[in-house]
Amino acid sequence: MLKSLVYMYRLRFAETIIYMLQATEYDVKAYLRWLWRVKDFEKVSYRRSLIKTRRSSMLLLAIKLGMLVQFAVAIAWASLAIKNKEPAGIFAVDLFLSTPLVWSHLVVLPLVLARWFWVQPLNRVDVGRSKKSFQKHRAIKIAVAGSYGKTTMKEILLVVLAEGTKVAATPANKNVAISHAQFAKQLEGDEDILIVEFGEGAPGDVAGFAQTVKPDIGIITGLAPAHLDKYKTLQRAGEDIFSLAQYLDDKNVYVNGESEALKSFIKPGHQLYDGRQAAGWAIKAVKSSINGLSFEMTKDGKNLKIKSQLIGEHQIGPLALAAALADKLGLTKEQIEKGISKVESFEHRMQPRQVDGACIIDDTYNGNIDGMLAGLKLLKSLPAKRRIYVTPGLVDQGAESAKIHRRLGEAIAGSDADLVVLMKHSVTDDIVAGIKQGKFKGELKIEEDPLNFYTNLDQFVATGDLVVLQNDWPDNYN
Amino acid sequence: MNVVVNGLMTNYLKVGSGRRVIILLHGWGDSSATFADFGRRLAKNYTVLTVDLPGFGATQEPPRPWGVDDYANFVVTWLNKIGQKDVYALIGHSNGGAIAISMLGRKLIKSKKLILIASSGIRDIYKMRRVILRSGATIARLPLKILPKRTRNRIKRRAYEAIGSDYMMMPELDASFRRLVNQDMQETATHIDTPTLIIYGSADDTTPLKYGQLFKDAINQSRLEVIEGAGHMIHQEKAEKVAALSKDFLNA
Amino acid sequence: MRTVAIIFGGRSTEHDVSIITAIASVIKPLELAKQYKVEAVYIAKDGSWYWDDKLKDIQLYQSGEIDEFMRRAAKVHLLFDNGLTLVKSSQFAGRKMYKKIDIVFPAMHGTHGEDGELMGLLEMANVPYVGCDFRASTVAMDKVLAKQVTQASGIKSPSYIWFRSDQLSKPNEPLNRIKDLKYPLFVKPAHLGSSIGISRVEKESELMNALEVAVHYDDKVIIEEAVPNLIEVTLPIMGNDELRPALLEHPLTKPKDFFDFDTKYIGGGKKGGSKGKKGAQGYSEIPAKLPKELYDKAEKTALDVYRALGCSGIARVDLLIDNKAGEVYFNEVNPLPGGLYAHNWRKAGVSNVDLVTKLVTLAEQKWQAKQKLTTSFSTSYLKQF
Repeated sequence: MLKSLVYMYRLRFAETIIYMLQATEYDVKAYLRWLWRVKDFEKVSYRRSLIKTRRSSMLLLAIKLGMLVQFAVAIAWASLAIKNKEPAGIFAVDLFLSTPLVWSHLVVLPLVLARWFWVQPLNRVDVGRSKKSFQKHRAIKIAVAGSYGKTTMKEILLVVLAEGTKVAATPANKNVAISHAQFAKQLEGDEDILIVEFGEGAPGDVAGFAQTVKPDIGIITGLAPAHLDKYKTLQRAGEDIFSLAQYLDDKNVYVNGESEALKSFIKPGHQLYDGRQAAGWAIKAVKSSINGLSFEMTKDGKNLKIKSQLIGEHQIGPLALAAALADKLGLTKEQIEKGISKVESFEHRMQPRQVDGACIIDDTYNGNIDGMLAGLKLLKSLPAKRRIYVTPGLVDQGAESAKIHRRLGEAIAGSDADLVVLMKHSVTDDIVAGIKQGKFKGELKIEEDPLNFYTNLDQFVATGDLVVLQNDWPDNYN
Repeated sequence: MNVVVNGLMTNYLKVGSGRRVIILLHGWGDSSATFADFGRRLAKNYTVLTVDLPGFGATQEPPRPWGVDDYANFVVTWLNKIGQKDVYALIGHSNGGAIAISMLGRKLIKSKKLILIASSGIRDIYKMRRVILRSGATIARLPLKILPKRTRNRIKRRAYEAIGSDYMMMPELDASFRRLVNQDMQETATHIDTPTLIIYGSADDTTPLKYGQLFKDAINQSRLEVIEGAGHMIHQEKAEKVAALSKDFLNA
Repeated sequence: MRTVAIIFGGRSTEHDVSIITAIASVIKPLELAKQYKVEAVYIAKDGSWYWDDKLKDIQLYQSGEIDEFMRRAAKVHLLFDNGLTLVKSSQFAGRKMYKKIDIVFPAMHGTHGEDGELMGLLEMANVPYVGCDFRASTVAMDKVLAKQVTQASGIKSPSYIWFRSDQLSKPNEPLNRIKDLKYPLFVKPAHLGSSIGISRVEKESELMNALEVAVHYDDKVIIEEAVPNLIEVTLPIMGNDELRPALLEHPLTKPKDFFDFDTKYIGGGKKGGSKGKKGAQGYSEIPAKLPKELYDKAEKTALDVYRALGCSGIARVDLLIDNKAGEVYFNEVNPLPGGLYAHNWRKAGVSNVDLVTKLVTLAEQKWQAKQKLTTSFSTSYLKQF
């Protein structure tokens, strides 16, 4: 306790502050919320630390200088006051003690100012320009929206379509207006297909992106509680995502049929994709193993034999949709099958690796209940001597959190896991309640030090183990 | 393989087949492992015997500080113990070279050939430098005593490297080491009547090329080969070249 | 939370291996298991005991700072209070620190530790400890005794003779007995827990040198026939009454004596200088590729050996197989295999964390069972005196 208090009066505190800013991508609100929640600053940058950039270095220097000046002034004042026996000198102590408080807040000021007077006006100009360049571009534009699964869908499409067309896509997780504008700037002009990821953040976002990018095809990958601070309800988040469908007059819209929350938004014109069908193609002969997936898809006498390295039956839908769209866009059977086989598992998304004969499925970027359920299904379906499931639970689930985590707990109980390791967090009790309700028979462990667990995973596993790691908690949720 | 020689547990290795037997002697602070590559090349045509000298590798330390002659006596006793009477060639690297010179110069053993690789055993050309450094070291050692042992050893090692002899220090053997650096083998070398090949690297600063020239002058039937650019661990750096030179010489 | 003390190091040629076993294979997983408080107790080469959290860091030994540490650190006292308590003086005004130990995890190899000496001490303290008790350890660590005991249970060993080192001063008698054995022979010190001092002898002229080497290390020497068509295998086993074998392991590195340059210096030989066991890790076949029948026979033999010697907790049984004759011979037992043979257990489906926690549990069960035995009762003997 004392130690963590003292920590705030060391210059290292400045680094922690800047690290927190950086980790929240200089989002002032998120930063402040985090700041007020932290109890022990010494532990904040335990798992990762500050990356030196020009911005972070400048801020760091400024805040360090500021703290030093305040310390110095306070000490000078105090010593003067003692010398002159001035009782008001007691305020010097206040001045001294308030240093970390003052500077952890003052540091936001330059950010806010810069945003208002510099970044935002510039962005508006860029976005305006990008609107024109998207309009002029001859390519077929595919928009991918949804609260999860966007990046995977986009990456699969990119790899498959690249077999027969010139295709460009927005880079990983760059999915807001300004990143679309930057993407537009880099285009060469002769692309056949553009894939643009629509990140939802606040009501009206997706509609705005659609107006700018003017997509021809829309894919809606899923709906789950995320960014509920802005949307308030799941319904409103869904409405925003489906404004993409509205823009397209509900034509050429493909919707993930496996996302429960999406179902109420689906209209007759929309085409579904899931484990059994994709845009009119029928899927059969599914084989799922630790080495990947294989299935066949047929439509109007056409037949595709799909073999993918991706793991988990929840990937069948996106793969099949990519194949269906590729067929629609004129790729040959050979090109499609080759393209699909080239899709590699994405980092931390159902990514398999071997540790001492144990198979670890790293799904730590997963952050939604549908993905969690898919992971548990996979855990149950694959052969193993011992099944281990590791998760901290989900973040940002709003009012639904307790319900969702109970459900997760029940699914865990039904997954045949022999060992469940929960990274301790506020939602742990809800998961445990669900696990108990589901009459879990295996061993349950609550781990308080996730980093220690992950770095020493090799000590916990043996040959024949199957381990699924889901949703590693980023440390700004500590 | 292990054998007890003069009460010391001795580790040695016998590799290869072939009627002719070659003995490899390693340098100070080194061990028979130094010949891993070089030895394997020779083992194709010869039986190669190599030993960890006392205090190095897996052989016990000598009971008191040993000089070159003590080591030479040890090697002879070891060969007797394992019943090795005929030796075709002696090959010594660095201090192993000095030991080989002692064995043949003092006629402790008969050998058809001798190869000296970056041999040590010349102690006078840097004498002044060494005397100065050593007296410096004696004075410097007094304040060193207050330092932690690790730091002390590190400084000592640097100092010994500066004095310039062998590759590395064995802290526990430094009394032996000091005896060795004081011993000059030139006079002994003049008694050698075995055909001798002397190999040095031109860039060797532990046992400089000059040593090779002095040994060439001292030993009657000797030839000096210089490998350009090679340093002290020449049999490792240029294993192929050194092995080729050696084989030509041994086969002749 | 109960406290487990790991005792390691010791006056043994395998001192350094013990440090690695303790830190990498016991302390680390045991701390990760988070079920016990873990204390490190280090026995220096001179036999002094130290107890400190700093001793859990391998860096301390690798950097040589251990010397500095030992110069400053207070040595440990042991307090026998129907249990074991560690006592050391703290740096503050000589105040004493006490730590009651609930379970001991010996991680020692070779003499003065693995051979039962430490276990005897722990038995006196009446504290539960991991692994074989002092009786089994003592027998297991004497190659001659181990053969005699297992032979009495009908387990085969290669033909052998043995003698005390002082008998070598009149070598005729032992040499005559050796004449009954068929060459090639192995000459081994009877007590050493590793391959140190072992020689293979092809003919009589090499015999004296080999004997000399063996008596250099030990006062008891065993000479045994080499097994033809040899496949060496080893099997880690754990358990008290109910035994769980790991997988039969076939080390692929040749025994220490017959290295060419490659295996000695480039292969596993570097580590194998003192402990072939550990160095063999990367170069072994797990499970050993044997015909099913032979595999089962070997596994059964190993389990029989474990029981015959009265092992408990964990041990590793080395066997020699004559591949052509399909015959399995007992070679020796390691009551505390290097690194616990965790690499083998992992292949058998037991993680490092599970392995150490299971061993601790087994130790407690064994101790509890022992408490039920009556060892003292009141008599009127004193009054009648």
